[in-house]
Amino acid sequence: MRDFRWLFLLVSAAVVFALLAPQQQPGTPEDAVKQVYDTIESLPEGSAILLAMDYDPQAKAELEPTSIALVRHALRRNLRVIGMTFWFTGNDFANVLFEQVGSEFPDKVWGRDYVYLGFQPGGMAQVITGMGENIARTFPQDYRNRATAGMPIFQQVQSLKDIAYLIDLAAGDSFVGWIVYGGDKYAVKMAVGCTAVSGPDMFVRLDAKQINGLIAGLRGAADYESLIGIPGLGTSGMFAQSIIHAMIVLSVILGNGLYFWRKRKKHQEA
Amino acid sequence: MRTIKLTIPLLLAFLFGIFGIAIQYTAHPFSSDTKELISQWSIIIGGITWVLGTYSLMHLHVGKMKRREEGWGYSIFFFFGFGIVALASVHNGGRWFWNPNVAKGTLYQWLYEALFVSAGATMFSLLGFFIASAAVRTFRARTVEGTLLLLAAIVVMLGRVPLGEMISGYLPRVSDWLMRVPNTAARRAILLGVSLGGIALSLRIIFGIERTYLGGRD
Amino acid sequence: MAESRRRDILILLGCVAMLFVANFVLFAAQTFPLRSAGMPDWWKTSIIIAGVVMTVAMFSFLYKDNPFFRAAENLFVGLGLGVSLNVEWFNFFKPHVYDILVAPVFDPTVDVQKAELVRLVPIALGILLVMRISRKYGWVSRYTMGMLVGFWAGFAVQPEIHSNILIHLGATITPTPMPWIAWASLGAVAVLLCVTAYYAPKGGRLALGLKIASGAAALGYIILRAVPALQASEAWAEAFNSLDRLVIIVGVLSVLFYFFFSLEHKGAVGAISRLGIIFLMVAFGASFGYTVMARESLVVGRFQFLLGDWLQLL
Repeated sequence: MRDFRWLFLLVSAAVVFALLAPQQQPGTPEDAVKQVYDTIESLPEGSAILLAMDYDPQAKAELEPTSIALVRHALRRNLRVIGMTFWFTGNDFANVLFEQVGSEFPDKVWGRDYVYLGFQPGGMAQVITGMGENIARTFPQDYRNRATAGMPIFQQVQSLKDIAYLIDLAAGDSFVGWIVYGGDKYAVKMAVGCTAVSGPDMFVRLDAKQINGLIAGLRGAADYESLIGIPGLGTSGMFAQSIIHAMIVLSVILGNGLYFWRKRKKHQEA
Repeated sequence: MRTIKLTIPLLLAFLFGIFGIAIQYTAHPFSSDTKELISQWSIIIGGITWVLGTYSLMHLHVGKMKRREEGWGYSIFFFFGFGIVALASVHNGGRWFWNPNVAKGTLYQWLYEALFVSAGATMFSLLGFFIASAAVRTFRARTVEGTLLLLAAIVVMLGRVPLGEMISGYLPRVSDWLMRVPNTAARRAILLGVSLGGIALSLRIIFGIERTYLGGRD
Repeated sequence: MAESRRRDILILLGCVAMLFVANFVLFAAQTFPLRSAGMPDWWKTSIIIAGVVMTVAMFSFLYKDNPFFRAAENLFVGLGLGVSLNVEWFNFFKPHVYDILVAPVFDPTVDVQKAELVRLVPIALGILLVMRISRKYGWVSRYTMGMLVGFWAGFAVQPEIHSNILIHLGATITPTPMPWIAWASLGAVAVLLCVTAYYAPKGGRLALGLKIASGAAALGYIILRAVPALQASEAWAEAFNSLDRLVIIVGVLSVLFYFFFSLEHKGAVGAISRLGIIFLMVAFGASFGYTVMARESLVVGRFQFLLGDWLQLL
């Protein structure tokens, strides 16, 4: 069996080189990403947005830069941000993210301007339906076990119908549940931030206008960071991404070239 | 006995299934209140079923250790990991578990960020190396269809990174078109088919034709 | 065998030594401990060092399956179960059960609300479900399963039909206004494709020529579609948009034909199915490209941690 460890070393070396190289210019932001940005820009101050942080450490590299950029943008626009998750493994660092980004805005208060509710078991259809009727009763306490019923943020936001924009940051297929039981059912404007693996599936939803924007993978994160003017991990990772892609494409072309050359040689010998 | 063990559960599935369909078409406040109640109850039931998953995993590792299977010693790390996080959760930064979640600066937080997040992120990043080797090893343009797949992959891979834009402004635009048109068409057809299958499965469950979810032999 | 084992031990010792040296250099250069408001932040420093050890243990699998990787892997699974316990308690049991039904029993100042006693019903149903563990009494779990699965299966029917079928049918069949010249070009290409489909199974030079012509027509459209000047023009944009919608309709129908195995894929059905395969290949190729991007992003993320958070080089 051939040894591909040389390829692993090559990929690692390429990534190290690309990360240490001087910062490259990001590409032109994709239209689908711009749509999310424009929607948030157009929301009146005080509107509530819901961020479903449906990812875990495995997808951190792709979705954390997007999450940070979105929370920053929303708080900068004086929107109210509500976070929750269906992935218990990502529950704790989603809270850390909310607290860290929230602390960048000293005038924003937990429970009034932003809150992270945590995780609820039971299934997506069940929890989203509950949120569609009453968010505070579905999440009686936030992540830190403070009662949600008395929180100022939930005086204006009773259910999903009061949410101006819902963004699902999806490492898996949670966006299906959000679209089917949330966005379409309660007529909530929706967007999705997803790992690049789910990206191709999202274009169907985009075309059917079930979502009005899409932030797919690290490229999407880099685009969003460039739109809000705060470069982060997304932007810094794009050059490395370019190098690896070029390496893989060249290897595939080379591999195919060798394959056809050997095939022709065998044919000629025969 | 069969009535109690099988017929009544199937009857319940049928009655609740019809109720589930009917409630979607009722605009009465009763519908809204019932949906909320059933959601709450489902959340509580779902939370309790955590016990099943935990029991299953524990049973697997205990069995492995009892039977001294290959690699049984590593199960000690499993129990150690579980034990230390459980203890940290119970301790809750000194405030104990019956008080609100302290979250910040606790042993639990340390274990989560230092070990769990790093291990999880790295485990999936291994796939990046393997997919690179898979692409190099197996991606061959043996047939017309295979060549199409290969070309689409190359265009999309280059079109989505700044390098593609540097090579040619056409790459990102062609990549975008491939995603918005032929990809959308194919995936929409798959979605329609899968959804029809899902609805058929729902109806089979309601009418008692599909029983595997009940478990057991009969 | 001995040679390989010696090499593995040397590599292991080399990695451990590199880790030690790197951390020593970081401490010596006063990069570590990290500082927060001027004070040493041992919390964050220890998290990073422990994270690096776990990362290296996991990455060691790339060299070879080894005890450190397997230990780290099992530790990770155990940690995950512990995390689930923590989340279940603080996010579910405590707010939904303990604080409402149990804590008031120990706190004389708080009463258990009578309305909340109804929660005992789902708790009982949940306990019935957990009985699945028992071989003798596992059948009682069927009551809860029947109610739960039955209700949500029924509940899913309407949203599925609406969100996953009707909306998408509506999005597929949309108006396609185009100037007559676009319709004429489309007609010509349609004729070409039909003739190609007819002659393709026969083989020969004519079939090959027609296939090449069809491919060239498709490629020509894709490239024309990407010309910026044409995209900026309103008339061209409308025509392209309409053509794209027609391509989507044809694509959806042909892929549905491909997956309909009750009809033999011969003749016209076979030709439409082959067109469906072309759309599927493009979709899967795009999927592969995006999957590569996703996985490589995770690699980039890990190296950002190692080079940035640990070695402080970024």
